[in-house]
Amino acid sequence: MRKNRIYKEIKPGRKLFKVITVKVILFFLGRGFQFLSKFDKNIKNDIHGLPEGFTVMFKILPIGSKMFLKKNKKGYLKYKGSSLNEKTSDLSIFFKNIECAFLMFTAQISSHQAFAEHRISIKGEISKAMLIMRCLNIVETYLFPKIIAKHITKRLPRISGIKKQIGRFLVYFWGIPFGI
Amino acid sequence: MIPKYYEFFNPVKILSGHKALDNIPYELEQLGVKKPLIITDKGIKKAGLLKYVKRAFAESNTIIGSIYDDVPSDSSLETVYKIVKIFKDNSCDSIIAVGGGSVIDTAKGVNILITEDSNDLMKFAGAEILKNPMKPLIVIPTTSGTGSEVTLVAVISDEKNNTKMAFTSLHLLPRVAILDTRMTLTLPAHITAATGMDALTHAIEAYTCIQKNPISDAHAWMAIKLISENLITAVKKGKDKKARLALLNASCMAGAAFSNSMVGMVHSLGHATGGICHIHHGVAMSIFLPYVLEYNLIKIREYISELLFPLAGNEIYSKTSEGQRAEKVIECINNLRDELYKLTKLPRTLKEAGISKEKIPEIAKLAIGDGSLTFNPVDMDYEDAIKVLNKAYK
Repeated sequence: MRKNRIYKEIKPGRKLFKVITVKVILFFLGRGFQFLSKFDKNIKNDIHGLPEGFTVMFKILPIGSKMFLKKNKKGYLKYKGSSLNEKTSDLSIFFKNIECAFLMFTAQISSHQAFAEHRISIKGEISKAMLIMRCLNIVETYLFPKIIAKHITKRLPRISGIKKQIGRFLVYFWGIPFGI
Repeated sequence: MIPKYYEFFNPVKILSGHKALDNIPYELEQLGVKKPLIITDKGIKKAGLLKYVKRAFAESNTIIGSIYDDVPSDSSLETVYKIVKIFKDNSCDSIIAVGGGSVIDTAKGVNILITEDSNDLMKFAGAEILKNPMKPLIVIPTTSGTGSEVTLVAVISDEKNNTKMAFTSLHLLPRVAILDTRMTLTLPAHITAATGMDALTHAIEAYTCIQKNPISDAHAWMAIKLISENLITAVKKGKDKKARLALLNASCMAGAAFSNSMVGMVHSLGHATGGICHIHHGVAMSIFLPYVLEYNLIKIREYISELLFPLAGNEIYSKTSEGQRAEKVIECINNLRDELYKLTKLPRTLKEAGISKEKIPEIAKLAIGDGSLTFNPVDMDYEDAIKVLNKAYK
């Protein structure tokens, strides 16, 4: 006679590669944001209207990584890693799952496409979220080569070639490694 | 073309017909509620439209919990708080919104606070944040423009902080929308024109923006056809029931389309112009629509060309060469605007709307921060916005 089958609980699996990749990219983006918010005129103009202490959180739902950016006294966005309390953020940008965060952070889809496809949810003022997304596009233009940046932006931001190359050099060899 | 991924959600039951309101008690019973609060504005009360709603309750055992008829033209935070108190004091269990966009948005705001049992609406601002199913909401539109009876969006003004907060969530969708011609028969010609152009813009932007999909396309296509066939008739003969019902349906379908595939740059410019110069939303839509289509031509010529069929009919579509159809669409929209100008003085330019040219930089700055710009197929920065606004000024 067959033994009675045991119906066990099935625990959710892990996607370690994607989790680590997203974590690393969040670090690059955060540090990049911090440096470029001092370097790039367009980002400076955009964040000028945000109040001091304004905090943005990017979080991967339901239990994924998060990253905070906070506007400081000097008027630029400071990368705060995952050190702040979620409740302190004025604007939260949530990725509905690790797959959509992976797609977006590996430049396979653009931020506007992710938003249009309901892959992102927002807590806070939507106009401020649009502002941050616009800045994110500029940051990505510096971080990624032109061929990729073209794919993830509707139109490349108006930044002169020389300025972009200088910015790219500085962000990779100064801003990101030293957290300047 | 089918997108790689899209979402479409519209669970709203739609009742459409000349005396569709008579089904209210039955629908409330189906929803398991017995004491609705009616939310409306002074204009609706003055136009005598509430009597149709009240009459619908005759010979039923459903009590109207109360009627709040003082919603301002811009849905405000303070009004939401007042209505929540009335809802609780009168132990209501559902909401009926009778009015245009402002009344419907207010009702959605009230529903958020009641459901979340909170007294701070701003805590729930954002996109797709709300988690809990809400109290049953029945919407009876009294204009044919906003499509709010089938949209998941609400915009509420915070007058103290001088900001407008947006809320989007599938839970904000009403349970039933009732399209009854009696509610729009007395709508003045110029409002009919402006709201009709608003609905046309919803449909066209839904069809041409980045989250278009086969289901929203079908809704948008039919909405455009109904508007192009009936708007002028409804403006000329306000009491024409057929035209009124067609426009109510068109507005509803355009609403379902854009609630899923969203709107674009016409709305970015329109929201900014409305916010600064306080012009009617439909007027702003009518002004910017052809200029934005021209601006977007570079990327979506094919989609704009396809719209010639529902907009102008089979004959003109087949007579126009493929390469000229997009321009013909813009020409048709301009002709429609000219005719509406002749009939109702609906402004075609910012100048005709009485807007000062000095406001253009301020409008441009606000427009590039508008959420709907995300969904436009072509990006717009400050310089682009200035160019389009100057064209629309003339």
